[in-house]
Amino acid sequence: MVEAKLKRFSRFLYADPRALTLLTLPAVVLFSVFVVFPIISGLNISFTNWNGYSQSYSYVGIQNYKDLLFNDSVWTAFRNTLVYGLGSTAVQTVLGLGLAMLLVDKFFLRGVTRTIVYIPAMVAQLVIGYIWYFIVTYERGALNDIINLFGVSPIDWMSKGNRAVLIIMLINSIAYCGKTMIIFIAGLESVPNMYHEAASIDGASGWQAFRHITIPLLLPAFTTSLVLNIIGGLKMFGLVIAMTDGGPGYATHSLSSLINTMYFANQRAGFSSAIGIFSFIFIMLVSILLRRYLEYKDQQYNG
Amino acid sequence: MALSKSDIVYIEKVLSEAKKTLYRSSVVNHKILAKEIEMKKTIVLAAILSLFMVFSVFATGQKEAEASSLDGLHGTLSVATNCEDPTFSAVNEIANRFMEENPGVEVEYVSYTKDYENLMKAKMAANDLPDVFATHGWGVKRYSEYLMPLNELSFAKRFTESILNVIKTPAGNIVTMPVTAELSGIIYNKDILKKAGWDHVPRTWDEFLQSCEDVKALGVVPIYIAGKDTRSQANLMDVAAPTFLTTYKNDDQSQALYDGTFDWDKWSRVAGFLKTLSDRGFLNVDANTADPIYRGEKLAYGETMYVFQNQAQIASAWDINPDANLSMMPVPVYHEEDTPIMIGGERESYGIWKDTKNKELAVAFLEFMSRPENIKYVCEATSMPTGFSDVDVDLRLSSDFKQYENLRTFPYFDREWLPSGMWATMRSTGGALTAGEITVKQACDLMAESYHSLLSQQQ
Repeated sequence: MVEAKLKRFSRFLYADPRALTLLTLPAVVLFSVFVVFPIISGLNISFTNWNGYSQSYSYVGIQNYKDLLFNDSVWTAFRNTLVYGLGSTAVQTVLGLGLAMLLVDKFFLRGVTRTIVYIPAMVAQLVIGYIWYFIVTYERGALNDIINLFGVSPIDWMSKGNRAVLIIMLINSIAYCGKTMIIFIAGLESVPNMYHEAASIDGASGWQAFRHITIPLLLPAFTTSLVLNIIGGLKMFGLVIAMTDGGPGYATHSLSSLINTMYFANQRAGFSSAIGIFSFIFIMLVSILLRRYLEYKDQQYNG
Repeated sequence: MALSKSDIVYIEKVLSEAKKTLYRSSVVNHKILAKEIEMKKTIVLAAILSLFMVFSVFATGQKEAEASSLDGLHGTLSVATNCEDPTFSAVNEIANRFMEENPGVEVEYVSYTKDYENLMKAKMAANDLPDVFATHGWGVKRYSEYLMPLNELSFAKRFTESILNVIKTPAGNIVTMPVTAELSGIIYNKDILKKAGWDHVPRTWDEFLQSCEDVKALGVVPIYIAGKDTRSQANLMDVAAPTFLTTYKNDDQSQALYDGTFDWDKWSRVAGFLKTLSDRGFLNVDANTADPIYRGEKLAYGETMYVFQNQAQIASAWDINPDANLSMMPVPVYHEEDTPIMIGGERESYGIWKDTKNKELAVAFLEFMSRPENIKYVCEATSMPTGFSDVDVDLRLSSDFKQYENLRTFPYFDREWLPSGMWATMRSTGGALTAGEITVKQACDLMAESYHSLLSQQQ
């Protein structure tokens, strides 16, 4: 009986093409365990008042979501996340594009220079944060030493919420401009030479060629950089914790670091999960919109 | 061109030879392929076998160590804490002595410092805790659900009365064993106080503010707050709050705080006090962004007068400059007729996980640590007092503390009168107050919101 069944199964495995779907089983298992189950579990916790470590909790309905709508720190964190994502994109586009244009042509030390520019992108965010903390700190910080040379008295750079968010955004941009540079180098190299030749024959100046040929054709590269930076802004955690620990107050938190603080420090696991679900919905909306936009652009160019 | 018969025969012959050659070469190819597959299989099998051998070596190695000690205690004990040096090195020395006395035992003593609390919360949620772990003042309020009662153990009868109050659950279970205890007020610099014209330490907060004014006139920072770590602001409020709300018998809010009826507008006394210090310029300029690593040197070189930390901070300052004339003063009070207090409670304190598989070993380890000579060693190495009534600890500040012997001891405000988790709200509101981001009223409202939601968690 068993033998017959085994024989039938092995025949199915080798002969029927549908059997190939079994090859997806490892991926499905991993996906379910590490993505699907945590989301469902998080959704469940967001309806409770769990403190994160007890073995028991009770359900409180949509109280956490109501708190979320009226909580200033959540909206500050949301705004900060957008600043870290979109602001970094803006700065990195300028920086990355500039560096890419400098380093796209072959010269003696091009490879070395590109590597040096890219190296900070490989360093952990926390390390970058601590190094920069000691540059911008009030007490004997490098930045204050520099402005001292010009006779300006030391400034406590990270003490004002808005200024601190701006500084963190700038540091993130400088640290990861290597990645944007690589994307733009690939984009620049994909611009066919014949367009530039045609433009120079027609008498276009360097700036006109740049504006009308290079920039439109760099749109795919720019979109890639935008997507990566928004994701980076949403994931921004190490830099925030290392430089300000979310402070002063809750002024510099990103959504990721706020979720972490709410869960561990404030012991509000239910509220933290609600913020997590909120982030999840936001990311999903952004992804859907971006995908629609890219498909539309794709049709425009290749349709 | 027409082909003759002999041509056709010749062509057929060539074709058949070619077919045979192709067939033979394909057979050879198959043979080569088969050999290659054989070889790869052997290599993979050999690799797997060697991996197994490597793992089995490790496995047998461990078993050998356990099997060799046939009598006495044996096994591995996991001990976790959040303390840093000098406490960590001191307790590590005790663990080493324990291992010397019991050769079959391996004590894995680890400190997770800043990550300890978060890690322990995650471990509690998974119900997978170390055998022995530090409770750092939260044995009753946070960890009690996971701690084994220690009432039956040999050292349970040796604690002082004041320490017993903080380590017993409402049901009467002793859940943790304090190795070092807390006895602090406010760190101050004796030389600067004298220079400012004071012959006694401030007794009320009004006197304290006046002393800050006098110190500021000397060009010294009155109070140093390392605000990048908002525990600094929170600690200031934690130390001051009892005197504003619970130490004066005619204005004792304790019951209201326990049963949830506390009027949070009264918190404006504490939040307002912090704001006053900030507004009147008694804090350092970078109070919001200074890192705690600067505290020790500020005290050591007399660049600040008051610091709201415990005795371990004095010890670190003395590491930098042993001649700094630092001491601990009692906490001043709010009401004129009240008397100053000291803050007391558990500092480095260990409990046993109630579901541990190494119960015998854990109990033996705690009882070893509780021996008077070992307690004395740790306390003197860390300059902290002890919770054991039969241990005499000789500290550099012991003579100063003699004058405060008869003062009342109160716990840190958040450990006794607030639900677990409010420390975070004290941190964030403290940080926001010194940064001028929120008003005192907003701070009170945030504390109230947190208090009610955390209290309801306990039901």
